[in-house]
Amino acid sequence: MNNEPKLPAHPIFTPATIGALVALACISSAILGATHYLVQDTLERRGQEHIRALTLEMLPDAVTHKVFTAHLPSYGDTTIPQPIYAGYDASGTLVGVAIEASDRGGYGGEIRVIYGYLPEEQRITGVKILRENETPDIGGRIRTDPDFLARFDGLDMPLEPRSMRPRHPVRYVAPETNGGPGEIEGLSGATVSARAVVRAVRVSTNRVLPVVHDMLDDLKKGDE
Amino acid sequence: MSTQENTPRTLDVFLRGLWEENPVFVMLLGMCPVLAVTNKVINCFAMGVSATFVLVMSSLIVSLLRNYIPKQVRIASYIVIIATFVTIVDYAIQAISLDLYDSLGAFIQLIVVNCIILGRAEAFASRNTPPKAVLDAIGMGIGFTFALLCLGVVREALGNGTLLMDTPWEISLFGPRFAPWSVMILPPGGFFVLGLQILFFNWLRKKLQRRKTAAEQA
Repeated sequence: MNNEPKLPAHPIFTPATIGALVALACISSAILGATHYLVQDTLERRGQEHIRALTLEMLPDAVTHKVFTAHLPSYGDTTIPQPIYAGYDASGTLVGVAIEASDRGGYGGEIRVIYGYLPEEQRITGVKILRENETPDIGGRIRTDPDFLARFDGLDMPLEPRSMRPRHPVRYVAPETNGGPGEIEGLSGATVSARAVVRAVRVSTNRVLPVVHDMLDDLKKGDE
Repeated sequence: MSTQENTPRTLDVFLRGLWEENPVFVMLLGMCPVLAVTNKVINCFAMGVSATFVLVMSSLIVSLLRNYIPKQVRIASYIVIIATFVTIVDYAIQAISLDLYDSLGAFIQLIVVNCIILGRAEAFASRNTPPKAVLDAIGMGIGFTFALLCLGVVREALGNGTLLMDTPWEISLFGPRFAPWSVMILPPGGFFVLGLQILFFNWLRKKLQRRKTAAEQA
């Protein structure tokens, strides 16, 4: 069993080496293609169930959901797609939308949240943390502290009539300052993480809510 | 290491990975997932099973193809083979639970470059017959899972006061008044626990060795 590779005597680009790699790559692609074909329905269903559960959690009155895509204006004529999860009640009337948002300024990197929004009442139903990597018991309290996320529950978000942007954008204020409209008190000892959550919601509401109101007719009709 | 003895006995091939050449506590391979995912028992279990599956399947294929893969491109070929199985595992975990998939993060994909798997392919599977390669892979895989669980149980118990959190079988160990020792679920806790366990297992191994030599001399 002498397996010492003698590289100088073994040129790399030979029909044997190229053939072996090409054959392996073909077999591997075939196997992966077959696997993907077998699991794609399950994965699709998992994703749908996940979104459905989230939407219904953010919009307690909703019983069904549909996924729309909002096109957020970007530089020039380009747009950025943003999924909008619309929730409907039993009679098929639009209840509200759930929107994912994220901010990369958490203490442990990205914080991802989802919030529910009721277009008729111009109100946020609440915010839920989807993913955070903050220090447990410190920044992690944004998820576990019962008071912090409750500050978003039923938060009024009136929009300016013409620009349809929030009149009082969500703003971070220091803990125990009893802020005015749109102001969210932080969490003592978890400033960086709490700020990141507030920023995620502010950036998203400023950019997405005008587009949501633009496409409100489509959302109400329920045509995807 | 494995080539010094050309024909190791079958049972030895299997047991070696569990104890004498345990990939984590003795060879110190694959430290990256060991430190990163062992903050929860369920993560350790999922990681261990995934790595074992990839290890067994890729060892089998590498061993079957050992006479057909040209030496110059063997590492590239092994990586293609390993990556194929890792992608299958990746799909499987996504299909089983999105939460588990989220909490394992990139570490499932990173099994592709896990040195235990590449190391066994290069050092053992490419030089031995398929049955032996599979046995070796099962031994190493179980050894790896055992090591992950050793760390995970301690870290989750001290860092969160539970066992099997985020599963239906969650057990609370110390009651509601327990103040979790958060550093244990953070990266430094991983290093502490790993260091202490390597110390413990080395001490145990030396002790057993001494007893064995004493018994042989007697």
